[in-house]
Amino acid sequence: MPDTAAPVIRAHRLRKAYGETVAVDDVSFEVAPGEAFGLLGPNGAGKSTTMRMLGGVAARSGGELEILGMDPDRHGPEVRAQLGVVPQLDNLDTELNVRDNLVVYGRYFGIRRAEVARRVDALLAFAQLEEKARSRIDDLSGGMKRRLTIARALVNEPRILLLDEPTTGLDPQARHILWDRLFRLKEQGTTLVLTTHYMDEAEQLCDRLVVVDQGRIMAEGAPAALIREHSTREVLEVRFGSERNAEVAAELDDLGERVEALPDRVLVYAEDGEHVLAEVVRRGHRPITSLVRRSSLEDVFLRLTGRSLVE
Amino acid sequence: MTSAPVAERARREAPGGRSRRLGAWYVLEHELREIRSYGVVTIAEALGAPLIAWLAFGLGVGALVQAGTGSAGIDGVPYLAFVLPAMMCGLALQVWSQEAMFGTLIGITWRRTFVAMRATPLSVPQIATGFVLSVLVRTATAAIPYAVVVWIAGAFSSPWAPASVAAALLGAAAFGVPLMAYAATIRRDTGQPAMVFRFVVLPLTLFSGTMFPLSTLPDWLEWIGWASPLWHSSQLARAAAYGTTEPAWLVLVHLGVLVVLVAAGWWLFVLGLRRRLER
Amino acid sequence: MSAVSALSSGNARAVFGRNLVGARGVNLWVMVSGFFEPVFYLVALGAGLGGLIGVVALPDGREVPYAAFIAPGLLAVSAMNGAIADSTWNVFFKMRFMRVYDAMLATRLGPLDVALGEISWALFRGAVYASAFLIVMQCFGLNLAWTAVLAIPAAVLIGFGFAAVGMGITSCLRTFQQMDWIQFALLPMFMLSGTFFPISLYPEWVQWIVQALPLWHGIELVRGLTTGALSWGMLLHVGYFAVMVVLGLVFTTRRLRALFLT
Repeated sequence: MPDTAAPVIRAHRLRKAYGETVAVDDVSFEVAPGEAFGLLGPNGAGKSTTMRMLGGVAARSGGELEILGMDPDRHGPEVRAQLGVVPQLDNLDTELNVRDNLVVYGRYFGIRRAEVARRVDALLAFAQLEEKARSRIDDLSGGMKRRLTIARALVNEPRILLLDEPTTGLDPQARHILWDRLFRLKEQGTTLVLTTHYMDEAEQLCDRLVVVDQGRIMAEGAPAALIREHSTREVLEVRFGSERNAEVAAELDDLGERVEALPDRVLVYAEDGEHVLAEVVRRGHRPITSLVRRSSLEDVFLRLTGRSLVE
Repeated sequence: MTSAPVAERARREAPGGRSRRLGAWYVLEHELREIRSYGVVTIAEALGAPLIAWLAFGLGVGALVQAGTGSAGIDGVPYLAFVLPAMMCGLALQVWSQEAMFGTLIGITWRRTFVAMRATPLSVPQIATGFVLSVLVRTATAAIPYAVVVWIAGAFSSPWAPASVAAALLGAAAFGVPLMAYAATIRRDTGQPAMVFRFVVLPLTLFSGTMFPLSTLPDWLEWIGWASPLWHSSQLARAAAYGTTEPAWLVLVHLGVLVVLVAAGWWLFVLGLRRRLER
Repeated sequence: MSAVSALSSGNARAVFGRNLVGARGVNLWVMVSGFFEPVFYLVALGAGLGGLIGVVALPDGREVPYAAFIAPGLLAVSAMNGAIADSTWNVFFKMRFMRVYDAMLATRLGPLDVALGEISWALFRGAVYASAFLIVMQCFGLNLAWTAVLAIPAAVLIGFGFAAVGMGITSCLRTFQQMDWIQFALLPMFMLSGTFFPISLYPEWVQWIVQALPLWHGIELVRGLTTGALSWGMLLHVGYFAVMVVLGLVFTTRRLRALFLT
């Protein structure tokens, strides 16, 4: 990680309140140039609000924020000129076709017509939408719309790309295509800031992330380091039926480092999952299903907040 | 031997049984619930429209017409009495057209409520009838207050005057039900609704002899009136409001044209709905 | 409040350009139909009612055919209607359903750019319609003085006033029902502001109310120009719309800022 370069984003004790409700509370982090930085947390954790403040479209209630050395509250247009924004809900212009969406958006930045035209051809190729250049927005699939929204956010050649829940609502295949596109951007040196409530997405894409819950940062670090720090190597997932999970969990308390009884299953955290499973069976319990897997960010979140990431 | 009565009872008591008989009523109920959210503005418009027509045309334009034609009036009555019943018909036609066009588009493509209804035991003719009835009720909520204001304005002189409301509703249906049939054929909105309102509904309201006798128009525009449901309903409404000088056979022609248009429109609407909902 | 630089990057023409590109996808006849609306009124009422009414007296005592009396009124009304349609329904859809402005304000554009771009689009269309209608008037022989040419900039000014205020009001509305109220407020203004008859037919207190409303000023301004009945009082009408423009723009920009840049 290029630690020597000055951070492109610096948030210090950032706060956002809407009346009585505090959406973001005392959030501090820095993002280095070229880094892929994630905000992982459940819906309503304050991720989108943070993104809106970073994007210069929401004024903060407290704290300090610097984007590329500028305060977005005072230099909104200048900051936004350097950003690419992919909002949570696609807001493509349905009155324009695919190509015109890119051209018109480029003009919003005041880029010259000839220059926009040149960039748009490259972006259509990047988004794998060359064949669809003349199509109506309504005729695109969800994955295509998402790729177009990302291409649109790149038209001003931004130094930072903000992605709010980039793959929410997409089918698995469309997600993988999208991840591939984002990897390419990362390789080209674009700084990515993304929010997600999918732990696999966070693990795949992020160099470093913060886990947020109820407007606060619960932990920070690289995905692998967070897992090492807050969970065991393996997890055993066993189901005994919704009636009996809690009861059996109490009897397995001594088997691993930690046991979590969820409504639909029991999680046992241990270095060797298969070994624990054998012990469970030896004690006479008959799980309906059982699964041994590596620990993930989901487990980190569960450990830190006591709740599941996807509810 | 017991199986036949059991099957008969099951048929009667199955949830689908009632809706098979009362289906149109349930559709009506659903549509009226949607209309209710427009409550206040609907009432304001229902009272505002006739008041404005009274002030602007009954009094304002009326004074100019009086100055131009002298005391004879038009059709043997003051301009106010001549124009207001016909403007009531015009408003009814506009309200019905709006509901017909957008209600049908909402039902088939925008919110697909008709599609949802078709997935229940409701039949297509029931959906069509229920929808038509709901628009009738909605249009009546505009036409009845209008008639009250017209009555207060002193434009009704015949005991048959309340029948002018029926004439307005029939005229509105004679244009609006065929419009539903047309709206049911729209697969992609490329501006057809705007076209219909600007090139059909607006000229109809203006050229149908509502604000002046059809005979004042040049000959090359007069045919619009004869083809227009609004002219037929306006003449019926006038006959009811103050009794016209038209022969009885012409009154029957007005009535006949309107009834045929409603019936043909309903039949085409059912066909159109079938094509869209039962593919 | 913040400086103009936070509200605008001086690029309203990109917003105008977006509408120009978008118009390519719209049914041509829908565009053309906006021109026909006042023409239908003119033909129907000019021929139909004109046959009953004959001539109307202007304030300066001259008598003009009924069609020449209503034509400038219809021109002013269509300038109002066009501006209102573009700045209310179109803006409402873009704001609440298509989220066009969310996308615009995530770029370098500021709220003032958006407001000016949208309004200048409404004015562009209005100027085209007004010019076409003036040609129709010329063909029917209803332009009674050379000053009729000035009705085009007058129509643009009327449109500007209504569009600026209309967009501000629209930004405060959330539902279709509320949007219906705009139409409801416009109808009496259309019918009672002296389009179809001189307001001197009314009792004096009604005249005062009508004269407080913007459309009457628009109609009087255009009627003075097309009939040649000029007076210094017309500057008052111009002033009325200039005030509407300024207040409307300030309010709209503030609302857009509050809505999208909170």
